[in-house]
Amino acid sequence: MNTTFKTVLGVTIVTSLGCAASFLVPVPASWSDSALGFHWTLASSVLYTLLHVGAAVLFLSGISAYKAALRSAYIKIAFGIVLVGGGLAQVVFLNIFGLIQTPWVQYGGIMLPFVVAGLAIYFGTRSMAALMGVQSILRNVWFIASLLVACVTVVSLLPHGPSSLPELVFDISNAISTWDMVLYGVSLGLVLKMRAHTGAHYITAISWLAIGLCGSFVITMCILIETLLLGAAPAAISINSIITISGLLYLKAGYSFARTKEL
Amino acid sequence: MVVFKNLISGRQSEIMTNALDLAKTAAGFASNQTAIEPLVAQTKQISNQSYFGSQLSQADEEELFNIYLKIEKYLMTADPIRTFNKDELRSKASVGLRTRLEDYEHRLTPLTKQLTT
Repeated sequence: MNTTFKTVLGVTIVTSLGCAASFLVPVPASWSDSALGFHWTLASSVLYTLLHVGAAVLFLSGISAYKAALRSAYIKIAFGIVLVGGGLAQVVFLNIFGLIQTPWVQYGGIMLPFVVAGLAIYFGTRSMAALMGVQSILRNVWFIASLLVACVTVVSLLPHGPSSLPELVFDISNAISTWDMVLYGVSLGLVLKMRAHTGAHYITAISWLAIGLCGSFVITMCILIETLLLGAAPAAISINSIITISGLLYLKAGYSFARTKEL
Repeated sequence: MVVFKNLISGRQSEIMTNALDLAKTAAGFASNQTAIEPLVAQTKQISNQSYFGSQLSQADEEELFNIYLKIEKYLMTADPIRTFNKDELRSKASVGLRTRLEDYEHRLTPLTKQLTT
């Protein structure tokens, strides 16, 4: 039994136990829906969070074979993946435990993981691309900064459905989705360039990372479009399902990267 | 379980018996293909010359060993993401292929020394 298999097995067991344990958590007084609804929402959040964490663990399990510069790039990507899952889960946890009125939410801290996740994944893929000798405008930080400003401005000016939120809060929320969408898209572009540039040994792993990033890009775009059309974030159940798929894609990418240490 | 194929087993170990596979596989380990582009082009050229199923001529095999040794040196000293070692790179070569490669390497060493002195 090799180390990668043991890691996948460990992730599967911990994820299953986490989901099962969610059903033992007592329903808080602040929860207005059914008990099953509470446990199902909590279990699905735990599921996709642990899948993202597991993906990061798999990414990091293979780094011993690589040089320090690539290890640093891997750590940034893994950190970004953990923040994607953790950031989304905190929204659910804060909602179901009635913590929306806390200073963390009131002062915008809730958005911080999403902002940092996009940046971490971008800088991780940028470092990897630089190491592999990929030449691209997508590596230029000033170009990306300009792209972010332009996209965020355009999205803030777009007409949208009636929202119960103040206009500024609604725009900030959409700006952060746009921020992530742009950074995932740019990272995807760099990963595809890397795929064309690197040896056959790394192609499967890089392809799965591209698929994972493609998933994140599409999910963020769907959330943004639906939020603009409806004036509110899409229903939790549909988000939970697609984020779980995203977690599985990153898990597969992490697994493929872990396997690259074997010749 | 196709998604997580070869989960329990190690990476599929295909023992290489010819110099062409050895050179191609080594080239696949290079993270930056641009750095070894001329060597990959030379390998392709030899691959195109010899038709499918035919034995490589001794001259072609020696040329491929020469290419392989250059790629191996690159992987051990200059690959930007990983440092490989000789044994792990040669571990998938069959005993016969490895012996022929090492014979070629030994014949080459005095020649290289003569040229550099």
